[in-house]
Amino acid sequence: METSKHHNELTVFINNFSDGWVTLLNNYSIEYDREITMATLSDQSTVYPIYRFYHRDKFNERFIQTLKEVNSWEFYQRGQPLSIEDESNYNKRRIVDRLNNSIIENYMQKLGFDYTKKEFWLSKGEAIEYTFVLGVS
Amino acid sequence: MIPNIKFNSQDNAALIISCISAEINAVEKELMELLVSFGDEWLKKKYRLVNSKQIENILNEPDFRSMKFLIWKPQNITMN
Repeated sequence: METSKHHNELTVFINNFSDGWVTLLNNYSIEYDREITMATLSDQSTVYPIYRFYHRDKFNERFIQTLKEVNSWEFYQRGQPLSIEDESNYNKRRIVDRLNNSIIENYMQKLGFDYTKKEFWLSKGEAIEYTFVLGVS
Repeated sequence: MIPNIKFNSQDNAALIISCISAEINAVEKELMELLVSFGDEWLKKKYRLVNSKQIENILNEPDFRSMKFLIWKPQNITMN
């Protein structure tokens, strides 16, 4: 499936929640009709790594994931593949070879989200930091 | 790989990067509207320039102490 690669504007969202606050972003995407792409990356040394690529726009919701459980690796995908994906990855024998940091990096670069460059991590203008303390309302 | 960002934030050791294809002022306004609709009016905002070290600090701050998120427009937007 073709997806928009025109990123005249881009806002990066990052937080200190262990789940990346996926529910907020999903709600946001639906409510405001915004295209969202999420990359979940794991350190190679992690005991139970998880690799996930998620893209949502008005036409499609694409989800691909590999993760290590206690005794095995699991692979899961749903939605129409995007044109930037290499679907031959998903037939590889080793599950970790189907989606990992390197493959996600490649997909994100093709979409114009090159987080390997230090400029990605520098704000162009002011960034906005949101904080709230638990138990205060 | 990712420059200057340590992966081992908190217990899950995953780094989640979310990209929204929209202009930052619109995202700021819309996210605030959405959070207020959730009842999260007590959110505080702070404006500042950031770099990878400050982003790493946020990633490494445990969410049980204070929940934080950061949005920014990166310097290397790819114009396809």
